Amino acid sequence: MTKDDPTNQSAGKGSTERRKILVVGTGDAFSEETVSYAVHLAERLDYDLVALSVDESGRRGYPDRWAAKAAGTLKRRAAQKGIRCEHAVKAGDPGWAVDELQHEIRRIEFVVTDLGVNREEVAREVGIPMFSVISGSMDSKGGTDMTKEQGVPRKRPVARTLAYGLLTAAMYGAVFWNADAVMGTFTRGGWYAAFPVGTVFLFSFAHGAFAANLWSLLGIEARKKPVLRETEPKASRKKKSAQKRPRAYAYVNPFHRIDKA
Amino acid sequence: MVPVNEAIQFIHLDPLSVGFLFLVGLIGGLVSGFIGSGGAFVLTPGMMSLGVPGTIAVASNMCHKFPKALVGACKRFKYGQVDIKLGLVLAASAGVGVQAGIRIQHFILDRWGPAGSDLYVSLSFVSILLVVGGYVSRDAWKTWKSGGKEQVSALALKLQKIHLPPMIHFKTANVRISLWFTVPVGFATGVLAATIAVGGFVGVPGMIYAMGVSSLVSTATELVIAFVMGLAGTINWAAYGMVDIRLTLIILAGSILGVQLGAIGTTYVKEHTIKTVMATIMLIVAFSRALAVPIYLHRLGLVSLDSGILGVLDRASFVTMCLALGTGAVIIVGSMILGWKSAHTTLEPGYAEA
Repeated sequence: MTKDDPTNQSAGKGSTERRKILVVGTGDAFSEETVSYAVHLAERLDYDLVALSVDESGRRGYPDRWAAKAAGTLKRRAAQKGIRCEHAVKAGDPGWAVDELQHEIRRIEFVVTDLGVNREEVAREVGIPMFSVISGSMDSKGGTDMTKEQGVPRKRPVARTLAYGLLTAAMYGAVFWNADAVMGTFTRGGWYAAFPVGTVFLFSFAHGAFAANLWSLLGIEARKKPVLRETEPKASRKKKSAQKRPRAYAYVNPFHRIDKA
Repeated sequence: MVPVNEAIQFIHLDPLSVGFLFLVGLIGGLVSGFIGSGGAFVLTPGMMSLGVPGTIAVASNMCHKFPKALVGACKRFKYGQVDIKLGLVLAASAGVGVQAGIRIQHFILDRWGPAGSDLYVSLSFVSILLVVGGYVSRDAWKTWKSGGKEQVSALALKLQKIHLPPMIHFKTANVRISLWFTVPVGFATGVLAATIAVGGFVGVPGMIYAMGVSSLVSTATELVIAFVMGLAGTINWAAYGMVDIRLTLIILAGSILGVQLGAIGTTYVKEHTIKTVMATIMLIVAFSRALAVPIYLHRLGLVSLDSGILGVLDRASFVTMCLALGTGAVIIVGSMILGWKSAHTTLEPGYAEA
């Protein structure tokens, strides 16, 4: 039995422990459908992923190397989406392996089982919701999986970069080709100030779009999940109507006779 | 206006100067996409060294500043870093600050002439940037030592607690503060913008230390202020026919590429990196302006220096200025690469090895 030491987590201890989806597979690698499904689910729910490869035969010679290979695609795809993914390998029965891992890693809240995993076997041991990936991209009714990722790998914006690049170049050409006339008009002052101001707005639109597409074409894109909002509690406005005023109650007992007292 | 017209049209543009303007635009854009401002302090003297008259250099620089800020602000808005309300509130008081700054400049110009005005500009550069840059660098150092977690300053916490109507809630910045405490920050930004052309050197630290805004949000919001002030300034200059659209467009070609890269860069780095870049640039620029102080003292007749020494000082000052921008760019690109690498290596093996 080998695992990537999931108990030795450096992040997410105590109350900040992140919720996780466990992905269970028995083959040499996770199927494409399972990888898409799990990554997409984790992205939408903002969960981490834990991959578990179960070696049912229990006779593999190089479990370490096998472990590194088995979850490669899943880890890579999770990393692209900024999702944490760790991987564990266990030998033996899948149900027993899941149960054991649940004791080692806290906050596993779903189980996604790969093609080929005996669903009943796992379900006997596991008391948390379980989803099983059972077929290809089409389900039995002919519909597509709602959580399947669309367009992976992403298309690079070659056409748009070219189009905006040509537009920008044409605009630069137009200005510098007629530099004398342009300069004559643009420097007349007064209301002619609208010319230079309008021109730079147009250029910032065309060139801005070109530059954005160019960087994305070159693979330079912003990190998906900037850690922005983790700072302090919200400094929200106090609600005016929120406070309840204490009410004075007068309790009248109809059976109480004043004249007797 | 005719002489200005003619003067503009005879500015000669050779490939070398076009390349220089493009490159400075690119690096300046990168820095301002990252820290909210920058580039102008090299571009204006840079253009003047190419033979462009001072006012035209200032006007053309300003005309490139607002579209660049617009593109940068849009990009960083997408990342959820821009507080538009805060930007507009500060820009309003900065507008008043600019008018005040111009009055002060005129007063000094009338009293002590151009050399006196230059001396005043240089001394404000040196004193303000040394104080603010020193403070920011100390803070960046402290944040780095404490593991990269940014703390809200004690002053900001105190000011946020004072209930002086009207109180304003800035949603993205996650700050609730009295309008009256935003006014000095905006005003100082405006005065500095009118004096040394880089208001952000006071605006961003003002937002961070006086209002308690994170450095990520304050540098992004500075772009909104830069856009508003740049647009107003450009309309003003263009009404006098001072904008050389060719110079503006050449710089813009580089700076729009740069500003987007800088904006992307902010998503890869820790917050104290932004402070480090800002402090480094401020301190080097302060040094550069300090080198120029003897020149103006000489012109005012307060000291007498050999013309050879004056030339050396002048050149050294400009080179140091370029160095400030270059150093900032190197830190940005370097930390971006490091951030990119760590994002793609620590995430991949999972947090077991992170």
